[in-house]
This record gives sequence, C-alpha cells and structure tokens, in this order.
Amino acid sequence: MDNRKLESSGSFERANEWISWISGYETEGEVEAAARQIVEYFGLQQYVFGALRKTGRREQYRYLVGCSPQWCYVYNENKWYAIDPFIDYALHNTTPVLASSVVLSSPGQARLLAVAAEHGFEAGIIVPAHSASTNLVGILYLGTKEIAGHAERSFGQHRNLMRAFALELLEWWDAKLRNDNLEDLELDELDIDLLYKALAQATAEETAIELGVTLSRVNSRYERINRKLDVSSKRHAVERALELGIIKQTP
Amino acid sequence: MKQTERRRTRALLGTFCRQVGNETLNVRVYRDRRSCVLERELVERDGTTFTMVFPFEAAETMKTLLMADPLYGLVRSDVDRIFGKVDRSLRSADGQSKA
Repeated sequence: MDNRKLESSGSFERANEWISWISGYETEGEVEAAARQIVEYFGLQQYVFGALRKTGRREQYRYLVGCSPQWCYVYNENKWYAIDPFIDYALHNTTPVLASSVVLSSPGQARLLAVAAEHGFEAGIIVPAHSASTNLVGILYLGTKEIAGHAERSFGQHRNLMRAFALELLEWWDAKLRNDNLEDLELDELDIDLLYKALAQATAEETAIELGVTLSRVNSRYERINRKLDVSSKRHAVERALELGIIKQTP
Repeated sequence: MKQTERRRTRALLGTFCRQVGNETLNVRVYRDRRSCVLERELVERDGTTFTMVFPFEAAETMKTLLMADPLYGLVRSDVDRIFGKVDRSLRSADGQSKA
C-alpha cells in the first residue's frame, strides 16, 4: 500500500478513490489512517465505526476508534450500547441521518448525547451499513465539535460518500475478522464447508456424499473443529463460528 | 478437496485477562505486518462483548491508551508487563528493519 499515500486535502474524486482503496488494506492501522483522511475531507474531526453482531442471545459490539478513547471508555463503562438511540436507528434503517434528527426516548439517551458532546461529538451524522449476513450491522458515527450547521453542510455535500465509506468499512472488517479467526484457529476450507453443512442441518452421511469425502473423515473433522472452537457439539460449533464471523447466516 | 494454505500474518505480542466483578476484561496486542493493534474487550456475564480496537505504532501510545482505562488501577501490573513485552518486540523489529 506504500504507493497509496494519502494526501491531506482532496477533491471528491480523491475521496472516492480513498474509499475504494479500503478493501485492499491489510491492517486496522492502514484503515484507520485512511479513515482519518476521509473524515477530514468531510470537514469533520471524529469518527467511530462499530460492527454489531448478534448470535442467538449473545451480542458483540466491536468498535474501531477514531476519536478520544476516553469517550469510548465512558460509553462502555455506562453500557450505553444498551440504550444508544443510534444503534437502534441503524438496526432498523439504511439511510444516513443527522444525529439531531434521531428522536430520543429517555433521559438516559439525552445524558449519553450530552456526554458525547463533551468528547467532541457536539453534532454528528449516523450512517448505517447492512451486510448480506443477517446478524451483522455496521454503524458509522461521524462527529464534529463545531455546531451551527456544520454537520448539516457536510451531510448535504457528502451523504453518498459517507454511505459508501460505511459500507466499505463494514465489508473490510467482516473479511478481516473472518481471516484473522481462520488463521488463529487454523481452520481450512473443508472445515468451513463442514460448518456450513452443519448450519444447514445436513446429516453426516449427507455431508460426506455432498462434499465427496468419507463418513469417517467427516466425523473426525467435526471432532477436530469442536476442539478448535472449544465447544462440545456440532450445534455449538456452528454458533461459535457465526459469532466469530467464520460462517454467515444468510436470509 | 483442495485446501487453502494460509500465511500467518498476525502475531500476538501480549495479552492479559482479569475478572472484574461479573465481567471479564481481555486485552490483546497484535502485530500485523508493519502496524500494531490493541484490542480491549469487556465480556459481560450474559456473554455480551464490547471490544474497542486501537491501531498504534509506538508502545508508549499503547500504554497511554491503557492508562486512560477506568479499570487501569486494577490492571496496572498487567499493563506494565504487556508494555515491556510490546516495547521489546517493537524495538527488536525496528532494529531488524534498520539492519
């Protein structure tokens, strides 16, 4: 990526190019550096990108932090993800929106916004990003310390690029997590195929026929997958693989 | 069936885990090619996880991030230990790249 150094100022074309490069980046560090430049092009100062994954009753919130870390610590300490009005918005909408347009429904939410303002999110823009997977949703928070119409102007000018930016971040992070987990767990393509067969509730016999391997190999591989995922059954292996983003549940 | 061979690109430089009341704090630091990343994960009793991801280049930056953590007082010794490991690893890698 060395030949893709970002310049600090840019045109629409340049910003569009930066966004299109995200899929080629290999590390969070590269993506974070690019994201800062893109957010700066939008005329804003802060961002947080969250990937929310729900598997069964378990929820995972994973945030790439492009703002004051103190803000994220405060947010986490107060468990504000449980009442965050923007998460609720992102779960049910696809359209980017000014943060000020989202209706608050509790004093706790008002308190959340007041503290966000103290940490550089005086005004902001919320950009939902939805994936092909039913259990993964992204949310891009863009923020500015400046009030009096600054966020509105940025939103009016860059709304479509913001949407593209959020989608690229979500797809990049989904792929990155999948690859990192496959690497850490040393799972191969046959393991993935077997997990998808288990997700589809295929029997071991059906799986062996469809994948062209012996029944004993299927069974021994499932045992190995269970050990690697630290679970005791095929069903739990599927749940764990979904949590880790190794396999995806599609509609 | 062809099996894809993967090249390991990410190395775990250090990690610690602490039980904090009903929750578990996991901190992991990886080196991934030329950059590093700090993952700070809090796992609630019901399994809900909240993970913050901070890319960084210098070990001092990582320490500053961890010192800002409200739980820092409980994990000070872990932070010192992981800082030492990450700092040594980054210095070693820096020395190799200059050699």
